[in-house]
Amino acid sequence: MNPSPNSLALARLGVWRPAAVAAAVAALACLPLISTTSFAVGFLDPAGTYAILALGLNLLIGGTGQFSLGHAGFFAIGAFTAGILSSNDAWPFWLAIPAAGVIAGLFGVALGLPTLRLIGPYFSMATLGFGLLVAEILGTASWAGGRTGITVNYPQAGSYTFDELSFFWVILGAAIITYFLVWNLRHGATGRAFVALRESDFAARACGVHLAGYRVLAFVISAVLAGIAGALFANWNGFLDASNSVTSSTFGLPASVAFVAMVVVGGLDSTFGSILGAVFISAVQYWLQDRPELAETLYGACIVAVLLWARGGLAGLPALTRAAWGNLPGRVHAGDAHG
Amino acid sequence: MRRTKALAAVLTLGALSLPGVPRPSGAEARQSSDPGVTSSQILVGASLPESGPAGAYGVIGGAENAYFQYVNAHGGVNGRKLTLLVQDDGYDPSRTLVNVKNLVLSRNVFALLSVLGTANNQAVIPFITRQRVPLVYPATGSSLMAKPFQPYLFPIQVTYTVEGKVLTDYAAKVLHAKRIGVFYQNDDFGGEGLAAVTARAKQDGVTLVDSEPYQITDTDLSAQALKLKRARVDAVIIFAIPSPAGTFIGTARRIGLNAPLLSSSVAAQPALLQALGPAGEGVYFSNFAPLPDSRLPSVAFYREVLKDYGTPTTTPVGPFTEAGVGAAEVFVEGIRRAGRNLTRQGFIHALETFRDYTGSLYPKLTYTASDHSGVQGAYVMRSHHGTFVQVAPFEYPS
Amino acid sequence: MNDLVQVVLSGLVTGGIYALLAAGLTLIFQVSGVVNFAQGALAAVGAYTCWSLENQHGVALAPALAVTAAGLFLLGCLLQAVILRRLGGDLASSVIVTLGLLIVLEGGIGIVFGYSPPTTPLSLPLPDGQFNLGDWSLSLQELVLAALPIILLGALFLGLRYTRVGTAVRAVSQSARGARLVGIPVDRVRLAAWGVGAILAGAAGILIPSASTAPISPGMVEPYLLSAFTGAVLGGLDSLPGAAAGGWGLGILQNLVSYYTPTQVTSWGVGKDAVIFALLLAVLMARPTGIFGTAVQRRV
Repeated sequence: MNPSPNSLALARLGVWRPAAVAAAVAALACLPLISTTSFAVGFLDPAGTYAILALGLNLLIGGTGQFSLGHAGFFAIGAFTAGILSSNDAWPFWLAIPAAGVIAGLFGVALGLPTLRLIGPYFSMATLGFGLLVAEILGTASWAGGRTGITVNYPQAGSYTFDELSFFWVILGAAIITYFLVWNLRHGATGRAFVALRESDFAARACGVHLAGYRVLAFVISAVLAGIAGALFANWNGFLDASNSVTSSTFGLPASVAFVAMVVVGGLDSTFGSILGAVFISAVQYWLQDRPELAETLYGACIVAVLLWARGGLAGLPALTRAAWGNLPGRVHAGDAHG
Repeated sequence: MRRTKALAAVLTLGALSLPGVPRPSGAEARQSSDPGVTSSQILVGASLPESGPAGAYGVIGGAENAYFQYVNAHGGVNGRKLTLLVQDDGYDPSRTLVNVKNLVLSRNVFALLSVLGTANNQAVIPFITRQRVPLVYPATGSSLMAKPFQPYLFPIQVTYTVEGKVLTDYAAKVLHAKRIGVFYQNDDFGGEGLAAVTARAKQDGVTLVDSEPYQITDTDLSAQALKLKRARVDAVIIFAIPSPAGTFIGTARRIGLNAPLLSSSVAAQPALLQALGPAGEGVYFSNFAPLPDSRLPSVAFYREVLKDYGTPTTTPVGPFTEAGVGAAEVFVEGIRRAGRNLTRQGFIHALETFRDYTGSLYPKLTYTASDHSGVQGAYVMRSHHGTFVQVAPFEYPS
Repeated sequence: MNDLVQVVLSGLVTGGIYALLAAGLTLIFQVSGVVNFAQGALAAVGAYTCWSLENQHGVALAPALAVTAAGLFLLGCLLQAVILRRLGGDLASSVIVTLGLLIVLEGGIGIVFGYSPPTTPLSLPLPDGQFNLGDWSLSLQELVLAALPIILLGALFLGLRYTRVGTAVRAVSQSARGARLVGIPVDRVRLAAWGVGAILAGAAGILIPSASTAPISPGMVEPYLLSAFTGAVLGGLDSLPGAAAGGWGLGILQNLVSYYTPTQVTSWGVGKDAVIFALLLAVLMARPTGIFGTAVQRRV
C-alpha cells in the first residue's frame, strides 16, 4: 500500500500516538455527562452507531472496490434480531447484540457467495435488491411487528439501566474496539490482499491471493458490523418499524445511500475516514433535522462534490490542502511525489 | 494521523457550536415549573408528514399555525402567545420518534399538538407517557389511542371502527347493498377498518364477500379491483390514504367496477377528486367535522382564519385543514381553561373538563378523567363536482 | 377471460412506464457505461416542469410538452458534460454520483414546489368511455395509455436503426474505441444519449399521474423506479429492446402475481414487491446480463 501523506505523518508521531488517542477517547467519554438526551439521541448515539457500520462498509467499498447499496438490509436484520430477542425472549443486550451480528453475518455469507461473480453496477444492483427485499419483509411480516413495530425496552446490565445518554458509553466502547480491529485488518496481510483485489484482481490472483475467499470475507465482516450497528440502534432508539420500507430513512434506500455517503465522504482509502464520514453525515442530519429533505439534498451534493474534486474525502483534506498550497507559485516541496 | 485527529476534533467542536445544537443542560429561563412556558410564550410541537407518501397531510400543520396566528393577533391566551414547531417525519415512525424526542427534550415544548399516523403515534406513546407530555390530536382513527386508556393522549378523530360501522350501515340500509367488499391498507389502520366492517356486516345482515389489501408502494391496483369485481360486490368500502385511494377509484372505474365506493375520511381530499376527474364523481366518504363549505358559523370562521392567516396553496380549504384548525381550537381552549398558572397537569385537568364542548369546528367533544375518546360519530358525504355534499345525518352508531 | 385480458392490459400500462424508464436507463448505460439511478428524479422533473408550465404559466399542452422535452434534453446533456464526464470511466463512482444526483434533484423539486401534492392535477386529454370487442370491455383511457409508450419506444427503435445518429449510438454502445476510430464523435453521442434518456424519463413522469390517477409529488416515481430497474436487468442492460421488453414483461408479471396470490400469503411479508426483489436478486446471480443481453463470460 502506498504510504499516504497522512500515514507518513503518523509514522512521525511515534511516542505521541497512544497519548493522543487516550486523550481523545477520554474527551469523548465525557460527552454523555455534559449533553442533553436529545443531543445523544440526535447526534451522539447515531454517530457512534453509524461509525461502526461505516468502518465495516469501508472494508468492502474502500478495500475491495465493491459498492454495496443494500447495507441497510444488514442493519435492519441486526436491529430486528436484537429487537425480537430483547422484547420477546428477554435476552440481555450484551447477548442480543453479538447474536444480531452473527445472524447478519450469516446473511452476509448467503448473499456474498452468489454475488461473487458480479462486477460493478451488477453487484450494486444485487445488493440493492437484497436491501429492499429485507426491508419489505421486515416491514410487512407480522412476526417482525408488522405495521405496529417493535418496542425495545431500555437495555439493562444487572441492576443498572442504560438510557440514551449512558448507552453512548457502550457504543463508544464498541466503536473503539471495532476501529482497532478494522485498522489492524486493513494494515495487515488481509488488508493488503483486499487492496490488491481492488487494484487488479487478475494480478492479485497471479500472486496467489484467493479472490473468492477475500471478497466474501470483506462482505461478511461488513455485514456483521452493520448488524451490530443495527442492534445498537434498536437499543437506543427503542422502537423499530420498517414499514414504508422503500422510502424509510432508517432501513430503506435512503439509509443505504447515507451509509455509502459516509464512506465516500469520509475517504475511501482511510479507516479513520469512515469515522469522520459517519460523524459528518450524522452532524448534517442533526443540524438539519427540521428540514430532513434539505439534509438529504446536502449530503447528496456532498457525494457529488467529493467524487468530483476531493477523492480522498474528509480524511484526505489535509493532503489535499497541502497539495493545493504547494501548487502556489514560488513554493518548492521536495519529496512531494504523488501528493 | 494526528492531523486527521485534529480535524475530527475541530469538526466535532464545530458541530457542537453550530446554532441549534443544545448546550449542556443548564438552567433555562422558565416562568413556570414546566418547560415550554414563559411569561409571554407557549411552545407547542408537532410531527407531521410534509414529504413522502402521506405528504398531503402536511397542510394540517399550516392550518394549526394559522389558527395560532389568529389567537396571537387577538391577545393570545391568558396573556401568552403560542408558537408552533412542526417537524417533518415523512410518515416514517422512526423519524416521528426522533422528532418527538427532539421536541420534548431539546426544544422543550410544553405539549404536543398533532402527531399523524397510526404506527407513528404508537412509536411515541411510551416515550410521552414516560415524559408526561400531553398530546392533543394524535391524528389517527386508531381505537388504540383511547382504549386502553392513555392518560396523556387526547384524540379527536373519529375511530376507524366507528367509520366502518357508519359506512357499512349506509351501504346496507341506504344503498341496499347485499355483497360488500373492502379495499384496505395492509396495516393497523386498514386492519381496524376491515374488522369493523366484518363485524357490522353480520349485524346488518349483509355479506362481506371479498377484502383486498394493498401496500403503500403498490403502483398498480388493478388486481385488487378485478378481484373485487369478480366477487360481484354491490359496494366497496375503502380504508386507504389519499394517493392509493385515488388510484384505486380511478382503476375501479376503468375496469368497469361500477359499484358504489365508500371511503374513510382519511382520503377525503379535494386534490384527489381533481386528479380523478369524472371518475371521482359520486364517491361516498365518512366525515366527522362539518363540510368545509357549510354555512355554520364555526365553519365560516374557519374559512376566515385560513383566508387571513394562511395561503391557498399551503392551507387549502378542505377536510385536512379543517382538522388542523379544529384541533388547534381544542388545544387553545384547554390552555385557556388551565388558567394563567400553566402546568402540564393543569392543562390535562382542564381538557378533562370538556363536556359536550362545541366551541370548535368539531361536534360535541367530551373528555373525562377516565375516558379521552374523541368524536364518536360520523356522517356520510358524497363527492360532487370536486367538492363534498352531505347525504346523511350525523349518527353515533352503537 | 375478460379478467385476464384486463389484468394484462393494466399490466401493459404500468409496464409501459417501466419500459420507458428502463429504455432510458439502458440507453445511458450502453453509451456511457453509467447506471443512472437518478432516472426517477429526471422523470419527476419532467412531470413538474410540464405541470408548472400548464398550471402556473398557462401554457397549452402541446407547447408545454415540447418545452419540457427540450429542457430535459438540456438537463441530461448538462449532467453528462459537467458531472459524469469528469469521472472518466470509473463505474463505481458513477453509480454513487447518480445516487447523489437523485437526492439532489428530488430535494430540489421539493424545495421549489413544496412536498405536498398540488391541488391541480397533471392531466392528459385522454378519451373516456369503453372499447367493446365481443365479450371484452376495455377502458379507452387504458388502451391509449398502453399504446403511448409503445409508439414512443417504437419511434426510438426505428430511429436507432435507420438514422445516422442512431447508427452512431449503436456503434458507441458496442465499442467506444472502435467508434472513435471510424470518426464518430463519441463525446457528442454521449451527450445525446443522456439527453434522450432524460426525455424518456420525462415521458414516464408525465404518464404516471394519468395512469395512477393520483396527484403529482416529488417522490411519485419512486415506486415505479425499482420495478423499472428490475425489468431492465431482467431484459438485459446491454440490449435496448430487451430492457424495454423486461419492463413490459415485469408490469404484466406483477399484476398476474398480484391477481393470483391469495391474500393470506401477503400477510407473511411475501407480497408482490418481495417477489420482485427476489427475482432481481436471482436474475443477477444467475445471469447478470439478463435474458436478452449478451452473456459476458467473466471468470472470477
